[in-house]
Amino acid sequence: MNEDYQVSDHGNNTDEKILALMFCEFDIEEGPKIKYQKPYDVINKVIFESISPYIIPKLQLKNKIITVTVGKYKICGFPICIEQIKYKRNIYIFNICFIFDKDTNICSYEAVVKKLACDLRTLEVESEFLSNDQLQIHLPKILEQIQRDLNKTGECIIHKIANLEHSAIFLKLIINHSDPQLVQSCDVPVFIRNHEEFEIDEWDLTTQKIVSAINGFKTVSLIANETNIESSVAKEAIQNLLYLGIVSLVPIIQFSSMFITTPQIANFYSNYELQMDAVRFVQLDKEREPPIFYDIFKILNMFNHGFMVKNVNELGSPHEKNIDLKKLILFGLIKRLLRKINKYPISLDDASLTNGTELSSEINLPGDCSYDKLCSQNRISIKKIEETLDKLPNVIVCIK
Amino acid sequence: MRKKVLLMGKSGSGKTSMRAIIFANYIPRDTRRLGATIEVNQTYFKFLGNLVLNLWDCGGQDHFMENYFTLQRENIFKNVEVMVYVFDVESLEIDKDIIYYQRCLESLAQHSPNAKIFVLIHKMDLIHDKYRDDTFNKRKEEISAFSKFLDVKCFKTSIWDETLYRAWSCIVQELVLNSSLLENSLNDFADVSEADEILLFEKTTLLIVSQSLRKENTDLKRFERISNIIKQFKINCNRFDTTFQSIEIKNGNLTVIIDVFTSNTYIMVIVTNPNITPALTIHNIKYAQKHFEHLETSQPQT
Repeated sequence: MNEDYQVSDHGNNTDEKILALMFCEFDIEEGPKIKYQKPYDVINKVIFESISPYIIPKLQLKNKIITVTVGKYKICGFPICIEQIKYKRNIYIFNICFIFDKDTNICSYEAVVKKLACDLRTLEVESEFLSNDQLQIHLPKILEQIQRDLNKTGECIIHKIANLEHSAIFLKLIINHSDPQLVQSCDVPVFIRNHEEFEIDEWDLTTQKIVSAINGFKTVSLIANETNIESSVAKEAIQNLLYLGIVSLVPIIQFSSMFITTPQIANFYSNYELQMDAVRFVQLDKEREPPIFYDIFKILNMFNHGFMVKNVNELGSPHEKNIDLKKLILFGLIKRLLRKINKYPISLDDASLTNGTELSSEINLPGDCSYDKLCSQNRISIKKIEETLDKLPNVIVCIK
Repeated sequence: MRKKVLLMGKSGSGKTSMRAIIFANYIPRDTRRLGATIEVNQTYFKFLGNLVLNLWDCGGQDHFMENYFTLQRENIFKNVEVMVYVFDVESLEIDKDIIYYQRCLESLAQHSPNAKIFVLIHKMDLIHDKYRDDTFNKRKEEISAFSKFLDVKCFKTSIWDETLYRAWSCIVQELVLNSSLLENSLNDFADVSEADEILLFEKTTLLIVSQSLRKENTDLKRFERISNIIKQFKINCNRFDTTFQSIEIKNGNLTVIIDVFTSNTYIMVIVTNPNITPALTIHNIKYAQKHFEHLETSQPQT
């Protein structure tokens, strides 16, 4: 893949978020107690006494994620109660707790806490892994490994525990994303993460084909056409990539397009790292001197209402300054320094017109359909749209 | 009127099982499947018309006990009417048990100095018949030594016989309001109906609330035995989807009528006078109901 068309996004590493793992159980004689804390003791006896009703709670609170914040720690657990006559007092209660700093966001950890608890429950029911002292001694080692691996890679695989059959544990942290936006045919996907980080070969064929067609300038509909994939399927694949944070969607960039700077442009002025990124990205000719920030900034600020890309090109002469204008616009869009100005035709009539133009059949112009959208929906050029709309009476165009 | 009853004792001594049998209609065998009590299990039991027993079944694990004497001290030991302390007769840590018991006494002295104390030496069925009395007396002595100046009543109990009913009947009798009034009325009733003996049982638990004796009887254990027998019978009736209503026994020597009395009690009337027919006794009972119903729901005399 052409890395020229990919803008890097400085992602954040997983810090040492899990401070420790704690295994607590209900002892028949002593009551609730901490059995193991790995890699080191975080919670002392005093703190435990104050929180034990939430760690080894009454039975009504079993099988629920319970998070307690105490002092500078946040403790997330999933208490398990196994009621069987074979146990002394007919019950075995335990809780595997994850200990974090009190300010950590633990949303993505809850699923892991629950899964680990349920996996251990199964191990206990099947092989008495926890209630049997000889087997329980294997637990501290496992806790250490889980804490280490999850912090390092977000994943942990334990293949066999204490030589027990079918005792593998698989844990993975899922970062919760919000729902991805809808993908429209007129949207243009662009990579914002280095896709070489991901093993494309492991992905489905559709996504592989689509990935090979993404270049930051082709629309979804064009990509679908090129790769011979059905439009709705292509949209889904791209939405998936959106969700994973691999691509972002930007509008089409054409000579007739208009853009405008956003307030973030002020940030650009003072952010040295961003400036260096820009210089690297928009350089037109590798042989020549790289462009200077001054020129980049100047050209970006030329974008305004009434100025088409064509105009900016003439006025700013980016070619002379070794700046690839298209890439500059793309950079601006991804980094939210520029936004596109769209034109929305609105029909002032209620009833549909009967003028016999191609557009009139779908003459629902409520105002939320931009030119771009109309173009890609009807597969005609902007020029054609403008011509058609000019002919229609009672249609105004809203530009924003 | 609410009265708080603390049920304390080492883990596994039998507190929850007792509670289940007396107040929740468990048969002894079913208590086997009860789980450990996590911290305090609070329940409310309506007893007679005007009394609510607020039972605090306190889990006896070390962790919880430490908590009761420190952080939770006031919460646990305040406003206590009665503390029932249960000792497991088979316990191997007698010294530790006594220490916990003492700490309870201290805490009570501090927060509920007027509380009545009952000590139950429990699981006596595990001691051979021969040695039971001796073992009990020995324990009783030890405990009394640590409860000087306090009015402590000791009982030996087991869930497998009537001894449990004896202990708990005594306990609730301490709590019943208007008990002297009740007893006087029962005595009057006994006189009027020429009954030898009258017992008043609470409906659900079958614990003896009050009694009236006009004639001497040497079998001192008869009360709890009767409680136990009727309770078992009642539970069996419930199993077959019927409710226990009444029992009438007549032989050459006596007439026994056990019947529903007030909304919260059963009455047992024993008549040996051959001139009084069962029908007459039943009649008397019916006429007495209203008065006792009223007694039960009336407010306590302060």
